[in-house]
Amino acid sequence: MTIAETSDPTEPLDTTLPSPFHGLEGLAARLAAMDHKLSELCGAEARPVSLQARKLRKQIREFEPGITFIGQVKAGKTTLVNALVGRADLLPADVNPWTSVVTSLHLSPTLEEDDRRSSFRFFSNEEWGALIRQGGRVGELASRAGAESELEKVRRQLEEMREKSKARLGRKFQLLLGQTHDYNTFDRELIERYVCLGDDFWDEPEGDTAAFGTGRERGRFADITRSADLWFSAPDTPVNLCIQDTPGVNDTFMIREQITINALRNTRLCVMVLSAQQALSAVDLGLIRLISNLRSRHIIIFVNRIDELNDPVREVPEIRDSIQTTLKRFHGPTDVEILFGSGHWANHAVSGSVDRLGGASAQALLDWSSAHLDQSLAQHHPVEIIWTMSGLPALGQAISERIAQDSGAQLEESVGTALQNLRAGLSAAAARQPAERIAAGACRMSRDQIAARFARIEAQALTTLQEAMTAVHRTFASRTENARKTFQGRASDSLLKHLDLYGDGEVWTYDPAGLRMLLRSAYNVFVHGAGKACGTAQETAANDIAALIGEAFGTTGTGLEAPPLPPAPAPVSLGQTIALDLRGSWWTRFWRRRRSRKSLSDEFARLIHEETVPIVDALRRDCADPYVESLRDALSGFIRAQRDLVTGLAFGEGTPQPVPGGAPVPHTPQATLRSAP
Amino acid sequence: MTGAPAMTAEICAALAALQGAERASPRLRSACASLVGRLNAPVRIGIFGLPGAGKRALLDALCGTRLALFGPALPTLELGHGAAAQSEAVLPDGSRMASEGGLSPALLQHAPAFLTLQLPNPQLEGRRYLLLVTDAAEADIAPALAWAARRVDIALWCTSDWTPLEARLWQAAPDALRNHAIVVPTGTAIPSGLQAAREGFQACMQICLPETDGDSAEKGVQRLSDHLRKTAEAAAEQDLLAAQMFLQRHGVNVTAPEAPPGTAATVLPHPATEAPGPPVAPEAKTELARLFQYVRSSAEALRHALLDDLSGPECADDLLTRLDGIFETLSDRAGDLDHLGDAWPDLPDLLFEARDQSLLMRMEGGMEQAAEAARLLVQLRGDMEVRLAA
Repeated sequence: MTIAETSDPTEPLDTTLPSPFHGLEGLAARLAAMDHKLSELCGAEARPVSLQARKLRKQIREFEPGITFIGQVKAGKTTLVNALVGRADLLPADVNPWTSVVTSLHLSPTLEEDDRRSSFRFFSNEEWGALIRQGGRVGELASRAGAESELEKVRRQLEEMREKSKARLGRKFQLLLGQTHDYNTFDRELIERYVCLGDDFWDEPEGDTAAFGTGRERGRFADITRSADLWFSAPDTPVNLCIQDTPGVNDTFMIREQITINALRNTRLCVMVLSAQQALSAVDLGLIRLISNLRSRHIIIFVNRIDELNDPVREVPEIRDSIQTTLKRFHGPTDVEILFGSGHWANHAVSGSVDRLGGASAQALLDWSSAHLDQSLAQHHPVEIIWTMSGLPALGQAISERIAQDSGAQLEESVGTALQNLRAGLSAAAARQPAERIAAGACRMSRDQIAARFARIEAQALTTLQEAMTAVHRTFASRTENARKTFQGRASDSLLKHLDLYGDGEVWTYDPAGLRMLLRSAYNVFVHGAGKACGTAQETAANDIAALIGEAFGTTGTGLEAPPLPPAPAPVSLGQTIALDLRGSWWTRFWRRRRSRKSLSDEFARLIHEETVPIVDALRRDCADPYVESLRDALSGFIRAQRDLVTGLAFGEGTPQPVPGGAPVPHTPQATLRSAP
Repeated sequence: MTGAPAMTAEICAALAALQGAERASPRLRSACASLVGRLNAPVRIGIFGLPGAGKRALLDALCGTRLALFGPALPTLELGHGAAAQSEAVLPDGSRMASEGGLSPALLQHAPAFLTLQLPNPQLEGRRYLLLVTDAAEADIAPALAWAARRVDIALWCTSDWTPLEARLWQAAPDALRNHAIVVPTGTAIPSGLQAAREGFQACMQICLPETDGDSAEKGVQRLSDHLRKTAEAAAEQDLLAAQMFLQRHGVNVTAPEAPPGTAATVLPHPATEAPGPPVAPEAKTELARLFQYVRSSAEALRHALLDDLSGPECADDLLTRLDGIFETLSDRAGDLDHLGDAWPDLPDLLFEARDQSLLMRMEGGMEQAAEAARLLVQLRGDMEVRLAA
């Protein structure tokens, strides 16, 4: 086996390894077939039909399912992501734990190899200010829990950080905030300038502004960069993919927790990466809290670094059991798929440097392989065997399956429904007239009549939705309020019982997971209710429109299908750390400082109240309201698209005005940090 | 249930006191009276089935009577306990005819439409049986079932081969009748078409009646008797608890042997609604009846699980998980029952809140929490029952 030497490590290697995402080929083929049907309609004489067909084609073209990788700092997320995209050294893995950059890799099957783009966005002035002023979320919690000295410490550290950033970036510092740097290319050095922060960086002399390409440039902007986006070619990947690498969540300031939450809110698939060695020993409650708010089918757990285990064959089943027990004990999702592997092995397979694995790792690989190698695999090239053993193909397959069943299926359904409705409209108009004369008009109603009818249908649908939503909102408000009261009531009871039994010498705790579960179930009820309300409104509108089409063109039995509902955002904000989660020294002191029973339980009630209000607000602002907004858009978009279609078919011309809304686009744009941490 | 009679007496006294209190509203008074009546009333067991299904023989086997000897001349009758044998017949012309002593062929010669019997048999203590005699026609049976529904706590349906007519009759029977129902195959084999659970029966208890096989029949009857006794006890216990809750809600404290002090307040997070609302839509009643039946049957299943296989240190957690499952189902269903929410706007909230409570109890774990969750279910059952009865 030869060692592949490449000049630029971000270049893909000449390797015969199959794409880990080939499981998406079926979806890609089905989308292509739909696209073909739409392309035929694009040639249709009736302009509204071709317009909408074009819009739907654009939706297919822009489909880019996202996968977000979360995990602890040392879990090896970046190594894994690099291996998965087949570029062993694309992202620097030795990132200083201070950085909080979310890196999005946009894999495109259609881009040419030398066609790459990149974009780096800095924190905004407000975000940065809030970070420094309040000391991030930890500062907020510390002030609520009354931990003044900790708060002071956090402030000092952040001030120090800001001073260093200022020193490094000079007077430009303030100007840079809020900016985005775009490039028509990227290479390792460019990425490192924004993403990587060398350990030695802060010891360098001030004011050194060396040119690009020297080591000094490393990490220059890293501490003010909020997100990095890289677009590049991935010819073997059947559809566009966006792979997001998030910073680890175990940082001192919980800035990155907030960042991870924001990244997760807009994703439909999350890969939680654990290090095999940590998975057995340490429990990361922060991570469990985060994934508890996603559905099990939106999560894959990948236990990385099994190459570092002494005896992977024996230890892996133990780790699996241990993870399942932990998830159960801390009320996390229990039926999550758990995969095992090694990004290290995979990267060596990808870069063809298997002979540099290192002794212990190679031994682990041998043991693991001899336990898992079957007859058919043994026929393959050693590199392929190592690639399979690394668990990456299995991870890619799992990701592909989820995408095909989830966001892929959603797109197929929504485009499929729209396509069917387009055809239904066409055939209704054509029923009485030869196809070539559609434009001449077979309509029995005037343009104004049709417009008025559609306006009425839309107004009625929106009113119906609005009315139904009033009740749903009321239920949500009362349920969240009750959840808080119920939790506070039970926790206070438990506190008083504890005081009766043990006095105030013993520290008492009450699992805040309960509060989250109550709020989550309130949110789920809300989503269910809102979806039901919108579904009913859409159904009614679809029937009304079908009746209108029948009247207008004198046909009967025009089937019109309501489009699928847009998915609801996952309530990930519930996963943020609250003061009750902090079992450390603050909590003990919070506890010790209060003397009387009365003051303890009063203080506790106040704490719960103060903790719950922002969580509920965030839930409403980040999840509930946007969901309702998206439902309303979907409803309006559906009705207006039908209006334009019918008007166009009846009077043979284009739409009077550009169509706002249209069918919902299933993929939401890249995550942004809504509120400063 | 040891101590139950004393408990019953104490609660009845408290209810009587509450009923006599000056501030008591008429509505409260009638509620007290009906609760007292309920606590002292015998368990009412109905025996149904097509002609020839073995109803009389089953009644005899359960009560130690020999009514079957009178044959088909026997009309629909009610059989209860009394110090001395007495009978009263309602004749076709509406006149009544009372007589000392048991049933006589002479009385039957008047072709009575309905009979009320009292016998001193010990098996009849605390029981009242209703034997429903009809023709085999649907037009005759269906109204009879509707009539009987309000007179029966536990329904026994005798069947020999579970015909489509029976399935149809049973499906159309009032919910009140189906809430606690046991199907009793009277032949030597369980009819092939009968799936007790699917038909909505709580149990299927086969009995080979005396003419076929004496030995196994005794066992079968014994099993059915035991089941009836347990059901009656459980119902009595729940009635007692419901009465206790009712009293507590109105500020009367009675000793609650099972409730540790201090927890009663958390069990009652909501006041009962007092104001009489607008008339309730029948759809809402149907929805509530279904929900209520779910509570009863799942509580029953839980009770069996407790008797059979829930034991050891894991028991509390297991119990809490099961209870939480029940509460979750209830609150999920409540969210989708539109009529229910229209008729009783507070009920979905009660169910949601109960779920929240049970979820936290499950997370806390422990035997005390399990007991509390169980009481919460009993309370919820009471809340639903009050609304159903209104």
